[in-house]
Amino acid sequence: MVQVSALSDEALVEKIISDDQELFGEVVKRYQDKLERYIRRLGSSTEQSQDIVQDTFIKTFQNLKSFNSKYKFSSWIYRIAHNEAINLFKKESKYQKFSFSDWLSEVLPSSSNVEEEVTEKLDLEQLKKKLSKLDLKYKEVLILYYLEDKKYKEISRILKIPTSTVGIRLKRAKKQFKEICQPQS
Amino acid sequence: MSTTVIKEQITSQIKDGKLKMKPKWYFWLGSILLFQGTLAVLLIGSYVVNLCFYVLRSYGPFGYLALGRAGLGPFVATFPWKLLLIAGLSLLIGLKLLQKYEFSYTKHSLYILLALLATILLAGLLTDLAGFNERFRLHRYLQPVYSEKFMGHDWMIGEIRQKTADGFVLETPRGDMIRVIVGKDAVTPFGRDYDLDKRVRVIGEMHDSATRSAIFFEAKGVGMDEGMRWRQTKVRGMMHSRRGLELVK
Repeated sequence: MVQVSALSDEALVEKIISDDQELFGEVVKRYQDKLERYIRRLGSSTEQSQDIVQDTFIKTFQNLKSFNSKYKFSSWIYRIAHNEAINLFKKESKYQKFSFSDWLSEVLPSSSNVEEEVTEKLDLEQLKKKLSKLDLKYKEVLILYYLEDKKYKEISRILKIPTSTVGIRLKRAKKQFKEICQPQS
Repeated sequence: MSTTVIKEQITSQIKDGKLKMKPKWYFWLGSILLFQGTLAVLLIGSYVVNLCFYVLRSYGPFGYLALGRAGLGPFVATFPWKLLLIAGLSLLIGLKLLQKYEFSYTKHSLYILLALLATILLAGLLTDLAGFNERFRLHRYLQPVYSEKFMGHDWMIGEIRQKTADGFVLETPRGDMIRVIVGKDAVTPFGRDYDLDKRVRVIGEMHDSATRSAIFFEAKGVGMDEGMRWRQTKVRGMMHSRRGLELVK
């Protein structure tokens, strides 16, 4: 018998639908951290992101029979999480409150040197300020591409935008970030 | 919340039956309703666009604009505003419905909108060209949709039946004979040399004068109705033909 952990996401979903619904716990195990991290990067607090993730799993389970196994399960679940997060942001008008602190602390390597750490922290603050000025539509593409390691096609499925638009947004995101980083005359 | 906690919460809800998967038929029903809704919107949109073509073809609202400022009133009265509004609404609803389809995100919304617009326009045009309106307008239940716009308070369409010293006698599509007096200041972009049986549109004012002993229409503008195409359909004692309007004697 094949170990559950060895199954692909899509095969696991098939098994959950046909054999054992409780196997959904494995989906939770596989995706909770990833989704929580993604939602935090989108701009929610840790507590909020946990609630969103829980709602995401509930919605995923309820709609599992609508999942088309031709496509990647990860894109589908990311899409649900993304929608949940955006809906909550809209509700709370938190579009502008984008927090990059968690993201940057993950991105930048931690330094053992105190002096380096202080400089790093100062840079980090400045960088945070600059990054928070990016539009949400650019942030989400940047996060998915650079931090979640998603391919163009997957991002396209998650954000429900054409693949060409993903490329355009990435390009514009980089351009906008560059403009933000340039010293003002 | 740790992974274990959330995992336990979810699995216990599943075990207790508090969390259930929606059945497959629920999604099938959704797909069927979505398809039917899209189809209905497409059909309504096409029919309404077809009606727009029909109204433009039959009543030629733009023809009134050639008669100057006074022609604005009849233009507004005969132009299919409501139909265009409904067509626009169905276009937007159609777009929203199409965006719910799985394929839609791979295409830009503008392309979907343009494709939808082209489909509705083409379907509407073909329906009109095929002459469906001439059949539909005879249908009892559809007659209110095809309410005629041949005559208003200060404008009318008809055929010249007789020339007079100061104008002509016009026969309206309803069969009324109305004396039209064309004043010296009247706008006549196509000249004042009126041929008998010529179809014209007039704007002006209706008078019921005791001195003239009959109803007459004082024209402030006379325009030709060239270019309108009416098909062979017998409606209310009239024969509409491609050449123009012929009364059935």
